[in-house]
Amino acid sequence: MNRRYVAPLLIAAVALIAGGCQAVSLQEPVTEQALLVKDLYNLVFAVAAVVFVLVEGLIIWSVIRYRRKATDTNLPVQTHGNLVLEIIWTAIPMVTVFLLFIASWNVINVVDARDASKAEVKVEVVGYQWQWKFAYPDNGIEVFGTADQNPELVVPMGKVVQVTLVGQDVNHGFYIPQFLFQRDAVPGHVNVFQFTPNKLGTFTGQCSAFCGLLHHAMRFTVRVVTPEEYTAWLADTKPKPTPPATGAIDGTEKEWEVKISAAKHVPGSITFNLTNNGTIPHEFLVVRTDKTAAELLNDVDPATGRIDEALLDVIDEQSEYEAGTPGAVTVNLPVGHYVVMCNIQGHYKNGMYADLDIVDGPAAMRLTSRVAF
Amino acid sequence: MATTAVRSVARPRTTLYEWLTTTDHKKIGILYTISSFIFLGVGGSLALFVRAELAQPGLQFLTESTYNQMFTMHASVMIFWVIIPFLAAIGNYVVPLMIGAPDMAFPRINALSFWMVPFSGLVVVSGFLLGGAADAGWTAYPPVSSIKFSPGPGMNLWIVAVMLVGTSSILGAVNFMVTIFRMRAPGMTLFRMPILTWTVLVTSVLVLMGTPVLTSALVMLFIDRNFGGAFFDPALGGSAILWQNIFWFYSHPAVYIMVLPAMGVISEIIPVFSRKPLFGYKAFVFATAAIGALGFSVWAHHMFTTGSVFLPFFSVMTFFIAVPTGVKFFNWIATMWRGQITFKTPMLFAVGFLSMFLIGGINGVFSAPVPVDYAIHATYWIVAHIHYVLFGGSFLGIMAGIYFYFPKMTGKMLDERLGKVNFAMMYIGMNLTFLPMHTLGLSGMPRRIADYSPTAGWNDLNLAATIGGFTIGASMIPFFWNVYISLRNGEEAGDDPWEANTLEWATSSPPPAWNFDRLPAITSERPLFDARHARSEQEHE
Amino acid sequence: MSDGAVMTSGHGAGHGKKGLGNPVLGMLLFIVSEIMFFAGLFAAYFNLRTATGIWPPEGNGAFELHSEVLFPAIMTSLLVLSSVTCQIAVWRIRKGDRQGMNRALLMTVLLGVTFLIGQAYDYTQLGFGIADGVFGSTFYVLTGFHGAHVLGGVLMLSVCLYRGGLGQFSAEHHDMVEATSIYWHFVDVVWILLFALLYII
Repeated sequence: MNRRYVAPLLIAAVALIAGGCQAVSLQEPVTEQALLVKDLYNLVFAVAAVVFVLVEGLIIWSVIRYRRKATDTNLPVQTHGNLVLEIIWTAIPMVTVFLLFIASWNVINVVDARDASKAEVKVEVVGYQWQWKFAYPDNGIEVFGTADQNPELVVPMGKVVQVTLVGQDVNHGFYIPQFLFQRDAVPGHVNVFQFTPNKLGTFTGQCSAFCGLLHHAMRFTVRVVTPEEYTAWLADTKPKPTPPATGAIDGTEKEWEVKISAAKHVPGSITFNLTNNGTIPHEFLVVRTDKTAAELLNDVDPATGRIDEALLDVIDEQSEYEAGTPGAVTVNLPVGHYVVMCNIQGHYKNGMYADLDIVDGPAAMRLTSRVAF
Repeated sequence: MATTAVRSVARPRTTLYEWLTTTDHKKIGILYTISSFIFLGVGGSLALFVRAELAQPGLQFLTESTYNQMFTMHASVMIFWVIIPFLAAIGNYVVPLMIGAPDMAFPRINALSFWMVPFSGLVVVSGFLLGGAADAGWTAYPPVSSIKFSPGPGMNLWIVAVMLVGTSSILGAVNFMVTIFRMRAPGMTLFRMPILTWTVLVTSVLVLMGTPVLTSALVMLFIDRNFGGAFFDPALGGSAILWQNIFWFYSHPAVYIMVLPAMGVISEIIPVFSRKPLFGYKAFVFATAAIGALGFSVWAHHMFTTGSVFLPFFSVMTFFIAVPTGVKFFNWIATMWRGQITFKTPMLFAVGFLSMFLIGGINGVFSAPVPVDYAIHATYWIVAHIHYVLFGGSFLGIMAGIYFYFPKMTGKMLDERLGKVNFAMMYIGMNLTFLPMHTLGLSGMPRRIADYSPTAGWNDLNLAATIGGFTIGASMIPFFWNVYISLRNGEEAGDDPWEANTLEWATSSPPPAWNFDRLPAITSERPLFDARHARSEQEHE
Repeated sequence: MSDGAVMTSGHGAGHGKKGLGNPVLGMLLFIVSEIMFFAGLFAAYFNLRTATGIWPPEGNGAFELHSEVLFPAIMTSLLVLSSVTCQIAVWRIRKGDRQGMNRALLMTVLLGVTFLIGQAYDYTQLGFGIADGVFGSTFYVLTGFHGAHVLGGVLMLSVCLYRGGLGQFSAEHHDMVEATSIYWHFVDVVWILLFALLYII
């Protein structure tokens, strides 16, 4: 090769390599575990680069150097093989890959470590089509993504965060590029992993397992804050307990549900304003019971399709009213648990019930006696 | 004494009926080739739709639903109706000739195997006309592929079509194995068979043992979808991860099914165009067998991120499977070393294979260390890997084989200049398309997304990849033009235009229906080379 | 320099040298693929059974197949008997006894058909279907595909019987009978495994 090509080719090579290095470097790691992963990647990359340069170099060299010349009339030496070479270029790669495996094994033991006793923050992540839900069960907080706002997972820096991950409908992938990490959210299979963030900031995440129509839009963010900011955020975000309602309760009935506008109400006189939004007549009973509405399903008599009202403490009712017409019933309810329902044959079993708790409000009047029936 | 076959003088043109009812392995090989090119058009167009949509952020041409069908069908068509049948084409045409046999062991089953391919291809593509093609990815993971989340007809059609094309492969594998074991010409011991025959043999073992497992998974998915089965539905006590295990038990060996015959092809081409024997013939045989065996032990490396895999075993085996391929690379290089290389188009594609499959093999090793896999799984890094090994590897190997065997199949030479244009455009286009995908994956771009955030920094690289993709498409134009003009007016090929080594070149181009009138003596893996040089020694005496 | 004679394909090749004709070798290899197909189904069965814990699952008394073993056991013994008659058919034709082969083949076909009818009857008596959870799905996919393979075998045996009746087989040329019998034995062995797994263990 002509000597004057050497310098420009070298410069081009260096530029290519520099640009190439930038192009194939991993994201800046932001967790303790990711630091190790990046080091491992760099090690694998270094070995890969050596192998690539060596082998690709040999290929390029061979096709240039051993091109048939006009003077090549006789056959080249017909070498069939060389056992020593075969052994060398089998053994060296085998040792190399095994050493890489050992290096990777040390890292996976850290990345996949799952000591529940070390977990300082516990989060539950649920993936569903096509959003994420983040729950902090110890604090009663649930964060749901919406069409306008991707959900954000807030975690404190320097603390061990334990994630319990599951898919609700189909497989999803909980992938945070800057954590150099992802884990599948599989229905029926719960995954648990831990990470320790070591940089403040907001990092994007995205679903990495194809999950249907809006897979590409299933994004979230992870915001790493100082432990103080985290504590403040917890306090701000914790849901305040809703006070019990006052005033009238709106009830709607249709096939097959009963909906009431308040599930908790102060005791006293309550008017239910009812609407039959179905296509057939319904009734509306207010029943005093300690059982939940779901438990009462067991009391439906299979023969009649109804709950035997002789066994129910029915306070009052709006009897059958036509579809599309309004109804109403006013009752005086002391503190306790109640179920409202439609007890026409088959209707309860199909789902026409709702729970109602009468509890003392901040400054509620208490009835001193129950209305006898 | 003459060793070339008696040339038939007047060749009657075969009618359409003959083509439709043929059981001749050579015609069947040509039929497989034609079918594969047609489906290449389908699969390639689907890829161009995908690339066109991804060139810029935002959904410009396609809805999400259509996009999901496009990438699902692109992969499915390319794997099952392009690459595997192309390799069946080459195997069918060449293997009986290479071993000195008059046809395959079961010619009628061979014809059945072929016709199942375009038929099943029509079944799978018909989804587009019947309310939506399959759209759950070619990996069809439940629950997204279950009836609840994929209610259209496309998924059922896909299942049936893949079962059909899988059965076609299995019958083909039986055919190849009996042919290779039983019908070699006298003197051709197993260790004198050409490497292409060896790779077809090992591939057939993989097909025989792997494909039926896919069939069982497809059966169970079909039952889940259509008969209320509970195999893969967690709500009914089934397991979504069970599908992944059974599916990948086949689909990992499938990638070796797709590359081993292509490696065989270039193992024939490189010695011919280096004028040296293949370096380390026995090592090649053992390496091929090792890849085949190890190929069954790595499947769960596709599932590292599920959290339900025995990581150390699958990680270490994935590392080890790199070794036999490395052995092959060193042997290919050693074949060229101190050779006398001429760059006819087949050799260009063979060297292209070497340089590109190297990249694909290396970037695949990054998935063996589990923590690194956690960072790159299901991102565009994997898309880069897939395409460097399947396009840069298998497809360039197939193109090498087509250029190499076109003269034998048709009696005409392809034009060299057009071949070089085809190669250059394809090589450049390929790298422009897939090299940027490494960076895209490392910067967090997941696979199978119809759209991406405009602020993620992925715009330019996606645009580059799209330009590359269209360049690949354009590169096929000189190829088809070349085929057209060469069939009409190409240079006569003669028996052995490349001065090759193996028996298929010891008969006319194209061969007579019965393949050979005479065979040279077989005393090594290069019987034609031996015959040529024994003859020239005689002539020099 | 010697010329190599071109070997004739199929039939002639393989006979005399090893005894295994090409069609028989082909059938053996095909059976390898069939074994792998059932292996996939068995793998699913074992995986789901282990994951389910209590097996048979509670909630449906019909899952208790252990108590209903008599009828399937009778069917099993008929199928095993059919393998015996099938092998007899092979031995007969190897000796050139066409009549003997035809009789044995007929017995085999009848036993095979009886098995299929018995299987269909058993299906109607079972108290669960393919949509009844993992138990139902695995049971029916395993026994159903086995039954489909039995049907395929019965069809092959019938073709052998038909061709045998036309006198197309001889001591030297009866590859199809050999191949069919190997297939039939395979189908039998799979059933024995299934029967043990689904009804007994």
